[in-house]
Amino acid sequence: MPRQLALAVLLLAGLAGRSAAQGVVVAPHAVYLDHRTRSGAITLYNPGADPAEVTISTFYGYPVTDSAGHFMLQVPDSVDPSMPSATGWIDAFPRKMTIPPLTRQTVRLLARPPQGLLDGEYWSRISISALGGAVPVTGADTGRIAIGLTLEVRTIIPLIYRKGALTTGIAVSNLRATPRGDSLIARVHLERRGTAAFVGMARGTLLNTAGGPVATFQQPVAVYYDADPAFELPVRGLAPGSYRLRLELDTDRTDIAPELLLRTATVRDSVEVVLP
Amino acid sequence: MRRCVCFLVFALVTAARPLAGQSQVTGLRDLDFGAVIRGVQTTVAPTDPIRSGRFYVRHQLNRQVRVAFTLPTRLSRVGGGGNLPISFSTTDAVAQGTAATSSPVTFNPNTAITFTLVTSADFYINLGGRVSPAANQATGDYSGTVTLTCTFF
Repeated sequence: MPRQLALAVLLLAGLAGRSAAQGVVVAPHAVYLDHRTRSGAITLYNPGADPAEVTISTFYGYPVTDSAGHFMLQVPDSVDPSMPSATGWIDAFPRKMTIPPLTRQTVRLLARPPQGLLDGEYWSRISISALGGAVPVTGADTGRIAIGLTLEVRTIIPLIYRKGALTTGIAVSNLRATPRGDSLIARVHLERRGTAAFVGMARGTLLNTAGGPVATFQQPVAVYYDADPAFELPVRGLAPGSYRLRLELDTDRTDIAPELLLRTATVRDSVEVVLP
Repeated sequence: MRRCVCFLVFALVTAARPLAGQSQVTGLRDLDFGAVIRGVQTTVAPTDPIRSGRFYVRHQLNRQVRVAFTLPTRLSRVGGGGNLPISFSTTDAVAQGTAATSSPVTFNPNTAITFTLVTSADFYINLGGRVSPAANQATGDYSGTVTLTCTFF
């Protein structure tokens, strides 16, 4: 019996994925707070074999697209009152902690919005910084050069605070597509409508002249103001000629709880594409 | 005794259970330059299976992850008394998804890059670099910090 138990414990320890990793697992992907409860939580888990020193901080930023259509964070140098920032009144408890190996830690988030906060959506970003160990350096041998690099990993997730009844929507314009190598790069201009960020999915289908689908993509998008994202479709092996690219934007996201999704009607557009 | 064992098993099962909707950024291996000689540049390639720095990132399929390194240009001598130059070239980082169909992507670690997780929900990043000690470089221990920031949208 003791041997069986020892084996079970050994197996379970193996399942726990004990490793020399430096960093933490963070859940959920995004934090939604509302004006009624004004609180939330994130869960951190240290999968490594060593304690992880973790620091929580918040800052204001929102996603935009760069010239290549990739999403990036826009972080203003300073935040003025006209910006929908929740950063100044979101607190995290604790902000600094040491998480033992294979252990979870809950971080409580508490909002203290100012009196008279107008209905709307307010944004912040949560930064979870984990400091790992360093390559050991010692001064025992004074006749050598030794290098010790410390690894730090940061995870940044969105925080959204909502007050009142909010709406969202998306306007689509300037859909175009350009072949590049084995891919077709689709670009589109997206402009948010309503009083809250559009958080949804972009789904593209490339149709042949008979109307049959020959390539597809689907990608989550979050449009806080406007964006000009790029989407890539694999077109290797497709015959040269004319095709039609159909784009749909909807708010069907399986990775976000349905009660947190702001729904809006599906928006569609399409464009002719010629593959060389 | 049996109660203690049951509790231990329960605790380990709890620890092993993944978090729902999780993201993970982990440093797996330090960038290791090994023995450094005065006046001799030491380079570690990102493809070096032992000495390259290695990170693991996990999110969700089809979503985007913005990856940005904050890299030192000089390492400080512990206790003061000098710096040691360190640099990272435009091909010193390689990202590789975990799917069989994933292709390695070489990128410049000095510039942020956004990946779309098309073939796998997780990937590794290997980091290389080089140190250039001067001919009269003071001996001793030099330290610095490499930071990997992953932004999930």
